[in-house]
Amino acid sequence: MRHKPGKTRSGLTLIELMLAITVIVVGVLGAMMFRYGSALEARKADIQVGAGRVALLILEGWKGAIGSTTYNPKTDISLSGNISISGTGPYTVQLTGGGMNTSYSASLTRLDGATHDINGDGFNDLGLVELTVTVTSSLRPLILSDFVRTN
Amino acid sequence: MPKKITKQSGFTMVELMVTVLIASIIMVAISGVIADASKGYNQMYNRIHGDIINDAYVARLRFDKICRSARAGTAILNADATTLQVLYYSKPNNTNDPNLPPDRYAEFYLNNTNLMLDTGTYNPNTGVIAQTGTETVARNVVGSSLKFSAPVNEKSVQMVMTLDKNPAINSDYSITVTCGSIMHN
Repeated sequence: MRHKPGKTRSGLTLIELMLAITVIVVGVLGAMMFRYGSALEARKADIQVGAGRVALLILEGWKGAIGSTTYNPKTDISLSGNISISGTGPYTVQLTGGGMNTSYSASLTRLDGATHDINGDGFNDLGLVELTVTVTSSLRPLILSDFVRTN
Repeated sequence: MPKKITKQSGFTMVELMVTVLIASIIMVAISGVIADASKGYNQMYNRIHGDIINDAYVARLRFDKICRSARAGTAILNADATTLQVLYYSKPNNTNDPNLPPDRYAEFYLNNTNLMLDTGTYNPNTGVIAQTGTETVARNVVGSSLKFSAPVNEKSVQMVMTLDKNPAINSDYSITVTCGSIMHN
């Protein structure tokens, strides 16, 4: 095809095209990361809910043992099946079943009211004992505590 | 009069075809992303509001309500800890006397893939139980996963089970339920 001399050809240069493609790719990647992020956060929420239930299971068992100072979730909660508790403190709690396979680490800290202010009234609380359960998963630790009257 | 030469502007057939082709590719890609997002939304919706989530919630609620009304020391497990029977109070709020015997019984057990609950009356004088009702507490229970625990000389009971909508495909729609409750007195 012949062109008249002096007339410039209009259109996009290769650089412009590459730039446009780069911008589009960055936008698409951003959108994909958003979706990946939402799926990841949902999974994290799932794990954190599991951590809460593990903490509650241990706390309720301890309250059922009337705040025993020798309470050991591994032997006291003798649950089998898709939960296993092992270790000597911190305890490893493994939940399995279906598409789930999550491991938690649970640390128990007892506080004796005879030497500590448990209910926050400024005085020591003889006869009360507090247990704090810290459950750690692949996420940040979850801390729950409760107290019982031992006399 | 000489004919005036006018320049015709427009797209050639080839340009049009290329444009349509590129537009088609982009449209297919976008529709793929939208379809995937929709699938992800449905998965998330099922994960939050699906059958097994409701079943898990109801199972926890029923187990908790009955066991918190039950009398400590009345829990009976079978040999492989797959059934739990407790004696409980119909009006626990009015029962502060630890010597007062419970008047109801409840038994949790597995029937195929359903967690069942039998309830009825308990006569403390004769020790006779009479079933008055049965209900399905949860469906989609993975058979071997249901276990109970009742620590000796303690006041708590525990339950663990896995609910799975379709165990054959090891689906995402599964949940391992753990719950423990302190008994009434």
